[in-house]
Amino acid sequence: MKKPELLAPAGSLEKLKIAFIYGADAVFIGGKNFSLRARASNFDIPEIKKACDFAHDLGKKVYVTTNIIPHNDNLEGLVEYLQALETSGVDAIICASPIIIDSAKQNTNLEIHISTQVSSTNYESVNFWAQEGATRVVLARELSKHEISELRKNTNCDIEVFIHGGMCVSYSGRCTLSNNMTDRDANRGGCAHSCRWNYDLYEGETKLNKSIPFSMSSKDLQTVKQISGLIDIGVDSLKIEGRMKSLHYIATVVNTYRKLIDDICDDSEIDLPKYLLEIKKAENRLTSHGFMEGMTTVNEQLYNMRSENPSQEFIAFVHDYDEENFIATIEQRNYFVPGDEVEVFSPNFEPLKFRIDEIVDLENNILDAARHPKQMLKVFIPFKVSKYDIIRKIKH
Amino acid sequence: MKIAVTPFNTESISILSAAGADIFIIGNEQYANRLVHSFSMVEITEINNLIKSLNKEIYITINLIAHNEDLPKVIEFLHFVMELNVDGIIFGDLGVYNLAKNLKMTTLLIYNPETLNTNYYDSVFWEKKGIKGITISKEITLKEINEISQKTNINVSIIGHGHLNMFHSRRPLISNFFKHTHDKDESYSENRDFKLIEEIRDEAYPIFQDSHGTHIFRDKALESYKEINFLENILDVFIIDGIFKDTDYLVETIKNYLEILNSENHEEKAKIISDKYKLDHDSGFLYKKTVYVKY
Repeated sequence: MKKPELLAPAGSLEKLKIAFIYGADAVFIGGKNFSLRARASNFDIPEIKKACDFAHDLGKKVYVTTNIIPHNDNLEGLVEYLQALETSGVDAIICASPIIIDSAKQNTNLEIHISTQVSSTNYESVNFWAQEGATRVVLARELSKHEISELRKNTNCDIEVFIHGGMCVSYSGRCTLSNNMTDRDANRGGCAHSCRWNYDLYEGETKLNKSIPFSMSSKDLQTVKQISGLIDIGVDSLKIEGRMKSLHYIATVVNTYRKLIDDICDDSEIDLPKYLLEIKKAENRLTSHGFMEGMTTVNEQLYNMRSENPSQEFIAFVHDYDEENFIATIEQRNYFVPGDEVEVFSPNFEPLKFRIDEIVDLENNILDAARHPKQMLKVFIPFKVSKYDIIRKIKH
Repeated sequence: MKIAVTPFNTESISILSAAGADIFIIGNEQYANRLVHSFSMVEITEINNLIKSLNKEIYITINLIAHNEDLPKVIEFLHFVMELNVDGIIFGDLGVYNLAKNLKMTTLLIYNPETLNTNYYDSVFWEKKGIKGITISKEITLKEINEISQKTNINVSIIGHGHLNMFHSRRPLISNFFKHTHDKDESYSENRDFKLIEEIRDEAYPIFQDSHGTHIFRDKALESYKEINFLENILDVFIIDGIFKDTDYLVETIKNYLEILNSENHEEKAKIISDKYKLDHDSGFLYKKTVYVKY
C-alpha cells in the first residue's frame, strides 16, 4: 500500500509550522503575485525562502499557488517571479494558465502541478497536462471515488484529490457570478462568494421558494470515511483546503487525517467515530462527502445558512514546560478563566483533559481571567506538554 | 468577419442564411452544454447537407465538461462528425482535444472554455497546437480582445451577442432545493422559465437544470452594436447566441448588425439600434474591467 502525501494549507509561517508539526507532508502557500485567494495573508519571497528552509529541514515540501487566469495587464514580472520561487527552493508551483506553465518550463526547472481551476474531470484532460510536462494534476472536486479510480487506471500522472474544506459549488474556474454581480474577477483572486448568497427563485412571475431563500451553498467537504478507499485507489496526494483558516483548524484537521492515514497504512484498527468526533472540533460549516459517493443530493447542500459551532474553543498555545513544577508557559488566544475544563491537543498523544487552576502572568501576578491575546501566562498542567501543543476549552 | 448563429430548428436555417448568417452552430445535448436546441444525429446529417447546399458553414459544438464515462461516446460522436466533413468543432474540455487529436481532427478544433482564454498567450499556445481557432473569454474588455486577436494567426471569435452564462454546477441545484423544501414537486428539468433574484439586487438571472447540472446566466443579453465595425476588423467570427430567444430574434439581430456594417453613417445607426434594445441588453464587460486588487 502506497502512503499518500498529506497536503495542508498555510496562510502564514506560523500556520505552516503548525501544519508540519501536526503531521502534514507538504503545504501549499500563496505568494504575493499570481495567486488566487487574494485576501489570504500571502508570503513574500523572503518568507517563501524561510518556509522552504523550514520544510526541507524536516524533509517536507512547499508548493506555491500561481493559479490565477491572468489578463494581459497581469503578466509583468512573471518570469522574474517564477525564477525567484525556484531560487527560494519551492518544490512545485500550482498553476492553471498556459502562459504561467510555459514561462515556468522555459525559464525554470520548477515542478508543475495543474490547479483545480481548470476542472480536470477525466483521464484524457489529465493526460493532456502530463504531455505538457506537468507532474501532477489536482482533480476537479466533482469526481466520485469510482471516477477517481477509473482515472487512476488510465494515467501515469500524479493525482491530487481534495479531502477536506470549502467547496466551489460551480465547476472551478468556470464561474463568473462574482465578476457579473460585483465586478470582482473570481479567476484573479476576487471571488465574492456570490454562490453563498440568498436568492428567490421565480417561474415567470411566481415565486417558488416559500419557506426559505433559494440557496446553492455547498456543505464543506469532509472525507474521513472515504480516506481508506482513496488510499486503495492510489491517489498520490490528499489535500486539505483553507489558506484562510485558523491555526486551531489547521492543527485539528491535519492531525486527524495524519493519524487516520497512518492507522490505515499501518493496518491498525480504524476507530472511525473517534476521528469523526475529533474533526468536528475544528470550527466549520456543516460537512458532507461532496461528490465522493456519486452525484450530490440534498444532503450535500447547505440550506438556511445552517452552521455548526465548534465544540471546542482554542484558548492557548504551549511555549514551554517546567517538568519539575508542572508549570506550562502558554500564549493566550481566547478568553478563559480559572475553573475552565480544557484539554491539551498535541501531535504527540491523544487529547488529555485537565482543569485550569491558577492563572499567573510572567511577573507572577495572579489573574482572575486570561483576557489579552498573545499574552504569555503560566498555568499548572498535570502532565508533560511540549511547544506547539494546543489548549482548548471544552464547551458543554 | 463571419456571423455565426445558433439555429432553433432545421426550418430556420434557410431563413437565417438569407438574413446573412454565415456559420451555423449545432449540437446534441449528450455532448454539449446550454444549447438552444438539441439536434438528433439524423437531423444533424440533414442540416449538414442543407448548409452545404447553401454554401454556408457548419460548426458542431462538443462543449461538455467530460467525465470518464462520457469519453467513449464522445469518440463515437467524433467519428460521426468526421464523416460529415464539417467546418469546425467547438470544445471546452481538454479531454475532448486529446480524443480529437488521436483521430487527427485537430485542425477542425475551436477552443472555447468560456473563462480561460484571457490573455494573448492563450492564442499563441493553441496556435502551436495546430487548432483552427479560439473563442476569447466572456468577461474581457474590447481592448483586451483587440490585443489577443493581434497576436495570432488562428481564427479568433467572441460570443458578441446573447445571454452569456456565468455559472455551471454539476449539481442538480433546483431539484435538490425542492426536495428539501417540498415547495414544488413537478419536473423542472429543462424548464427555461426559471429566474433567480438575489436578496439585495433587482436583476433576474435565468437559471435551468439539465443532465449536465445547473446553469445560471446574466440578466441582460450582451449586444455589440456600437463595436461591430471595430470588431469586423479584428475578428474572424462573431457569434450570436440565441439562448432564451427565438428565430425571429436571431433574424432581427443579424439584420441589425448588417445594417450597421453596411451603413454610410454607422456610428449613428449603431446608436439608434443600441438605444432601441437598452432595456434588456448591455455591453457586458467590453468597457468594464473587473477588479483585481488585494484586500
